Amino acid sequence: MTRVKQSNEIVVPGDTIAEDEDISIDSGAYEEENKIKSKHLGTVIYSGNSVTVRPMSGRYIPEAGDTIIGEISRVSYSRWSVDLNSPYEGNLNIADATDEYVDLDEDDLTDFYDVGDAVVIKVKNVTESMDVDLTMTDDRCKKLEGGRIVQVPPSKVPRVIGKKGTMVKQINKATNCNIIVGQNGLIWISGDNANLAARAIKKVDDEAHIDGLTDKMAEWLEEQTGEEL
Amino acid sequence: MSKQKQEVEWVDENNERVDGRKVDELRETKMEVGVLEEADGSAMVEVGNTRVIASVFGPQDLHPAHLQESDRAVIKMRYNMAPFSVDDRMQPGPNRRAKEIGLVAKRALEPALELEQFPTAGIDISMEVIESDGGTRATGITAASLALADAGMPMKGLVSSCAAGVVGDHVVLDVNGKEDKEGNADIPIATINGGGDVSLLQMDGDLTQEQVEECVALAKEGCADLHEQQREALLRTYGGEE
Repeated sequence: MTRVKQSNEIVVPGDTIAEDEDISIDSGAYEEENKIKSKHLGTVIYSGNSVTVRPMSGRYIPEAGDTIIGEISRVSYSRWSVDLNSPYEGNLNIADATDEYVDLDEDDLTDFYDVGDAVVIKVKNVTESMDVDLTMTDDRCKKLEGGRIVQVPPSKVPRVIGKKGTMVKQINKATNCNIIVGQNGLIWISGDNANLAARAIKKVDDEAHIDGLTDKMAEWLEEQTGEEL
Repeated sequence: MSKQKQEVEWVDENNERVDGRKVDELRETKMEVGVLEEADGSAMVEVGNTRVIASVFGPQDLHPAHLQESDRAVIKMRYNMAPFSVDDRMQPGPNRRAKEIGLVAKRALEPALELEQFPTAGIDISMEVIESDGGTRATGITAASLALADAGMPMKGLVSSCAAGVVGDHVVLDVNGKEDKEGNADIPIATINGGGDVSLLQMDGDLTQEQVEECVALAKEGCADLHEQQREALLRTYGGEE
């Protein structure tokens, strides 16, 4: 029972994390000859009796239940195609988009969502062959008006949100911006001080592996705004 | 080609080779990760005068759709030599040799990657040879594996690759351009995670069975050494101490 790597340590693919350890693998690792090894270039995280390797980068892979930010890429006869910042495209059917009655031959689907619109959208279902069904029937789902979108690796989204949302709340408080974080790594920011919010998010992205980042960010934000949080 | 093969003293009385190395010594190797801004992952590896830049895009949507596989991602591998990479200008564009190297490099990397995680997707890997002085395929594989790790791909371990060959009567590690062209034989190999799993083994030239075994053993040691350097390059870029 030895932990070769400690929490927050950076590992490369193939690095041994633990030997003969009675520990379960959450994600990002595999077992070989009684050794737990990393699958990614990332950070080791032990939580309770399981271990995860959080990758430094990588594409978003859709999972049912995720709330993400997407961009409408195509409007078809009865559905929309949505770019999810992922290898896979999402489909939004009319029934999942609106409760209104839509006459497919008379009504114009672009009145609801047009190509280029950014939307907060929920993943309803993902099939084995990676067909992604989306839905707007969730309170958080909406079309985004104005603002801007910045990007972080999807693996760092939990860090941007922080424990129970502390990090994002803190940035929101300091900059007075509306911030919506999508699980796919796209983050929508709207407000006068959007520049600072974007820089703050970039900083969280760059320093995601540092301990006690929330406190450090609080200091940095106070320094930038000149106001106490 | 000269009618008479010029006699070269491959290893002198001080046990030094044509470029001053010992028989079991790698060329000076430099590795850098994340050299390209737009790629998902990238790396540059220099082994002596050989220099290769590898880039990775994806996993992403794969076109044309008939190349897609429903249960795994497909790798599109490109090996290309710049026209100025060799001593005389090379005709640019793909040729038979480039196709072959692209294919063997792909097969060398595939066993280390978890392609099942990305059904129907495609991964574009490109190895651009900027300067060539022997061992471009091995250097390309080493660079491509770093670029894949940089792109966040799930993999069993880094793939490291180098060649060993026979010049005169000597078995030597990491043959350079001159030793490659004028020597007897060379065997490039690739190993996964610096260990015993070999994912590439090619052979070209005349050599005995004992020499083959010696070459493979020597090249494996070279790969283990390169693997350590790959780890260091990644940790250096991503803020890990070491």
